[in-house]
Amino acid sequence: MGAQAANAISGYTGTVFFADLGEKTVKTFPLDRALAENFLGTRGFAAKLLYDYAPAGLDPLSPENPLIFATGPLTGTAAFGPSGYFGTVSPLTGGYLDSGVRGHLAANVKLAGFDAFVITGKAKTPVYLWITDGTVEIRDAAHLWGKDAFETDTIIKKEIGLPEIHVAAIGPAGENLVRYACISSDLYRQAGRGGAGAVMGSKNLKAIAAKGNGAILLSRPDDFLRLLKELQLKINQDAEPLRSEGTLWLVDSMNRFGLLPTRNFRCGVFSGSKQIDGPYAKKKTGKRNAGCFACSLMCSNRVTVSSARYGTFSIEGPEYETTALLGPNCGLGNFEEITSLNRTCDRLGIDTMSAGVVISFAMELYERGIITKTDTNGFDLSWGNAEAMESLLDNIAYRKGFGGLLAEGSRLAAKIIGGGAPKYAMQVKGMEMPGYDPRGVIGMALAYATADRGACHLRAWTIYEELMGSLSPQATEGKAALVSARQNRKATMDSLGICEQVGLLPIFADLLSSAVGWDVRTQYNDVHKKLLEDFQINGAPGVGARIYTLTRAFNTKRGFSRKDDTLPDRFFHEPLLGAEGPGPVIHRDTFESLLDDYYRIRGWDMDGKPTKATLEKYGLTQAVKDLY
Amino acid sequence: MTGLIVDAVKCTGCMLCVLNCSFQKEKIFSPSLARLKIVRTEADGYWNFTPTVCRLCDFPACVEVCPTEALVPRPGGGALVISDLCIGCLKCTEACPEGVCQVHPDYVDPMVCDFCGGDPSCAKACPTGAITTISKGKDK
Repeated sequence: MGAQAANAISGYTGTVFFADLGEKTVKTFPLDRALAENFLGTRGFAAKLLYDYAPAGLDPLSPENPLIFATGPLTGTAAFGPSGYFGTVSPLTGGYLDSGVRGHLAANVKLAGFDAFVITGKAKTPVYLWITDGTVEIRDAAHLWGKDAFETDTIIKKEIGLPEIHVAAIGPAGENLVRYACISSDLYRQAGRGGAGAVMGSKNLKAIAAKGNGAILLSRPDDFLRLLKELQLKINQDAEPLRSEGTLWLVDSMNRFGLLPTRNFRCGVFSGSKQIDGPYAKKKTGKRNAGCFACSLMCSNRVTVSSARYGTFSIEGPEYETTALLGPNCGLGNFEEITSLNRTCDRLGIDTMSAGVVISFAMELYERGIITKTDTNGFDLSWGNAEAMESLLDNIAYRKGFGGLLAEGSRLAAKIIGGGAPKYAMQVKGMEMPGYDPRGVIGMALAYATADRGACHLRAWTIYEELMGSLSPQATEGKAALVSARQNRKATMDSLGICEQVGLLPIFADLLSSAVGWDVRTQYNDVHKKLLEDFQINGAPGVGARIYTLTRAFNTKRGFSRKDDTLPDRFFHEPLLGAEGPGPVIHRDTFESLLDDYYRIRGWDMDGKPTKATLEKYGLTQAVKDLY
Repeated sequence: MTGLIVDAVKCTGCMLCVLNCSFQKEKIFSPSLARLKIVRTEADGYWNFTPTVCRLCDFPACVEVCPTEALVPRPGGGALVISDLCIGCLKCTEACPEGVCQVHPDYVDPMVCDFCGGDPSCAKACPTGAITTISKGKDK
């Protein structure tokens, strides 16, 4: 049986595999103890392995770009750690990318005996990986090429003959190298952001299938069991709000706070929000709870809707980001249509978030007459035209006509269109914006600008402190400390494999310690005393800060600097429109001084480059050699 | 004496029951070492999950086919394992009407649900009520 190598560290399988698709070889290596202690797992592993194996200056869609997948020390246990992270150089930003996926994939990769894997090269003909119980097979996928992500899932399960395997597949968008193509796992779980699906497509890698029957051994199982019971009790006590509406609770809240992106981030309130919010989904869709491996939160909504074009169907979703960005942000206030667009994105393998913002970008250009029907292949891109959106998604996935241009992402498409287009591309570092307007919350402005993978809400979500906590949303004091603390905290949480809905509770330090046998301590933020910032492992400085410094060095090595830590022009020039007229705008000098504060806290120079002393503090010796 | 009842409609396939079972019994996390399993079937582009648990049979088939009396009837239903007597013939695994009786792959011993002495960890871990405990007889 033994999923665990004989000399493995407790909590890990002890094995990493490297697959070269060009050579059709798979080699296994023991997990490096220093990698585990310094980077924990999942996102931390993705960051470190990518740093080590991605040469600077490579084309993200070339065979040399590694595609990494990593699990964490709690993945596969009952301790709410279902995440796995893909890591690669992003075809959307040209910089660092990790992209997390929950569900059952990571647990099965780990129970099959692997902590992580690195895929390089390009297969001569399409292939998929089949990972089970210590073995990795590179299988022919010629018959799957051209199929969508859902069909691929079904066919692979049939041909392997096990309904309980878990498949992560790309659809036509990934095959056609759409720069924001995602990887769809178990149909409705996406490694969504940044174009990891296009990297799979560029490697002729159609899917990864896994089923693990092994075991995970822990250092102090009795302690772990006691802590686990405590954790489960706590999670279940606090679960009800999330079980009730899932992340759709945010629709109404963000609308009330005036942060719900509407018509390409022009406005922060949407008149039709009651038709797309949590209570609507509960009442009208026969909503049932669904969830991930080893999670009792069950925050995912399994909805059944009827649409004029597609009849009655069920999916898991849409989540808040999808709803906000394909909905109000495109002027669409119809839950059934949003659900249908969500399904189309998952099936074709397109990130719903980038899709929403790329389409809203095109809709604004259309409204302003920068593009016309001649440019859009006859599509009427009026706000809220769901039928046109649906057809456009298809054209994006197959790179047909105008869709082919939008497949490049909003930054590059705007550059090609030229004229006044670039200022309507709502992106940071090339990645499209998430569903919270930063003009109303200055911490989020800094969080988006300094997120390593581009505009991302999952690096530091400061809205809680700024709008529901004790801080004022427009005040700058303590915000740089808040953003950096939140970023560190999230990097630690992700690297353990825990999801943001569960959160990095202090008990996870003890759980991790009893799983792996290390000395794990919680570290709190200097300014925001009650904010759990990071974990210190065996006396070393914080693991989250180390990861964040390393990905910064990764991007610095590729030419990223202060000039890239910025926001779309609109946020500096146009006030956010609210229910009572024009609201806040971000002042450039306020923003720049926040950035100064942030760099100082991080130990980076004023151009955003980590100083030698900072890199040395976190033991990032290769980065010292690369940058100094 | 308690028994387990299953309401499959409520199951989300989260696997907490099997994970908690294997950890309670074997001190490791391994769904394949649990005394119950989740059967996953696909229908209409979605999955149905069915927790499959020991039925606590009055006349257990696993006991009946065991040639070495490694399995003996348990007062109140189900079977008890007498360690060291198992020869690994796997007859019990074939006879179990639910397919939940397994023999441990590393050491020879049948893995049969013993209801955790009346407070089953699977039911305790289940967040939806798909697996609950009742006093045997009351559900008839």
